Amino acid sequence: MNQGTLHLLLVLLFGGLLGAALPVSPLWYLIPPLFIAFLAVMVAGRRVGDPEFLVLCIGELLVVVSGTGLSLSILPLQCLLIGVILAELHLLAGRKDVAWFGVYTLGASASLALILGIRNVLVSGIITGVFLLCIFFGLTVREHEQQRVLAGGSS
Amino acid sequence: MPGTRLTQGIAALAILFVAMAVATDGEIPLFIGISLLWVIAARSILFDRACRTVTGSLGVERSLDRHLILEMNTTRIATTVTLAVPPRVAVAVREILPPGIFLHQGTLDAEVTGTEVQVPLEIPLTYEIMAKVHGTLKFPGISLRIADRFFAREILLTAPGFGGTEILVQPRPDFETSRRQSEFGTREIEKSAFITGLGIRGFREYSAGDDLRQIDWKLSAKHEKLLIREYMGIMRQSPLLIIDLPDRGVPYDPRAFHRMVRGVAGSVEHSIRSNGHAAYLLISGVNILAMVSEEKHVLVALANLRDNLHPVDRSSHAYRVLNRRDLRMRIRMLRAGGPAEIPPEIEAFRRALLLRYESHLKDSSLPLFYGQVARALSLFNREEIIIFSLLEGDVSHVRAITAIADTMKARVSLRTGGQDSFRFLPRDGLLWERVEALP
Repeated sequence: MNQGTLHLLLVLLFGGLLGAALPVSPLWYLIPPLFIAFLAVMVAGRRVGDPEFLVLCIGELLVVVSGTGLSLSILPLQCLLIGVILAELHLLAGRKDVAWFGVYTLGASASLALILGIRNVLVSGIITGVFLLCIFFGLTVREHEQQRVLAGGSS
Repeated sequence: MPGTRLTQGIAALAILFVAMAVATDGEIPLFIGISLLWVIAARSILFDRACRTVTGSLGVERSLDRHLILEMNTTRIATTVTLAVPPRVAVAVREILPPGIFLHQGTLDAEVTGTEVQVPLEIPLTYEIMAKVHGTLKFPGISLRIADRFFAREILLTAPGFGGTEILVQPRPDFETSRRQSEFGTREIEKSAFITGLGIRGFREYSAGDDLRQIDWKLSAKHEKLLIREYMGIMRQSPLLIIDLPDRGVPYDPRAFHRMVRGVAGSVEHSIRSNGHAAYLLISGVNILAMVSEEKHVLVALANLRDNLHPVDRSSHAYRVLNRRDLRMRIRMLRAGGPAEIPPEIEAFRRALLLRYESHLKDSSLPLFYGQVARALSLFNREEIIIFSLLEGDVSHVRAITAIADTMKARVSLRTGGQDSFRFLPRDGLLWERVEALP
């Protein structure tokens, strides 16, 4: 699929989900102006420079104000937002990128399940944090090892 | 691995949400913070795979024009880096030069971005280096900068497969006293030749069969290996060709001039082919027009001659001025007197002429042309001079050149395209070794 079409589709899906959240959100009046700002930054920011980070910030605000509480409904919103950002960066074009998006969705789903299962911010935060730290540590060790081999050290 | 500004921003946002979650005991900020950290984690895994794809496919091939160069000399190097680049990943390649080697020309960097169709890319880096230190210098390798929108990483590739090419830089004989000596009709050149001169053009490592007397013991002790001196080659000096162009305002024989031009072209070509270079001075009477001290290319020399060998307007004239040697000779002749009985009016004319010559001789100032020719001849420093002239009208400038060349112990011969080639024989007081009529 064309990157532009995919991007538009994801933005429309994100907007549709936000529209569905309007009747249940206590902060419903914030959703329309924030979504307009979200679209405006996305369109206008392209002319100025890289608007991705600003779009992400506004998108996360939309995710926060659209939910009444933590439920499974927040997962598609968050995943769609990340999808919009990646499509904006043209990083959903190849098969590997889509596979990576699957990994991200799995990780986010597992985190949500953990938070919903434990119902304790500190404990679930620590467990997920330790898991993510293990991933970063493993990657750092691999990077160091690779650098050593490429610099002429024995493998 | 260092993240880009976007990654740093996402990480800061994630930490903010997690902190907010801890402070407010909110599950939504916690989920958002953790999911943002998942974005970074997943992208870092993808980036790690991209780095492995690039480094796993990497091949470096380096070829040097010369593996042995003299210090401060340059050589061309062509490095080809082959690598596969994943889509939307930018890879910048940079050649690392050994210490003491500097980039003289070209570029050491190149950057490629991966496309959807992942095929091995070839990045050619062609550049010239200059060695400023001597010894055996080894190319350490290359460095890669791999970057995508989330991460950027610098990798140093110094393993034997990526570097290790050696270049041997020989020291320059900077502390030798003299170079390019020029004497006995020969000159020293920076080339090896069967007959060698005294100047040293470089050093190289000793190899079996070299003359032991040429070993430079001081340098060998310093570098802990035997180094021998390479002496300059010897080449015969080319004669200096002085081409006297006729005055445009005075009638001249065009056929004789054509013969002279043909003779000049032949002599220049012969000089370049047999001696490696030609030197010539273009004059017209007492006007110096052009001076070429060393022309090595036949075509360039002939083109230059074609442009310049035409009759010219002389801005200065010698007015048949006598040089001091001729003046002295004529004074001697007049003082010697003639037959015992000569008419009184002829005797009076002889005395008047003698007085005029003596007063001229007392005048110590020399015409400007003498100084110019003397400087030019000392600059060329030749032992043989060939003058091409039509010898039409005033030839005092030819006499002047001959006299100056004689004081410099240079042999002078004259070639003329005119028919009356033998009118200036030694009896006229000119010291040409031979006068040749051009065919």
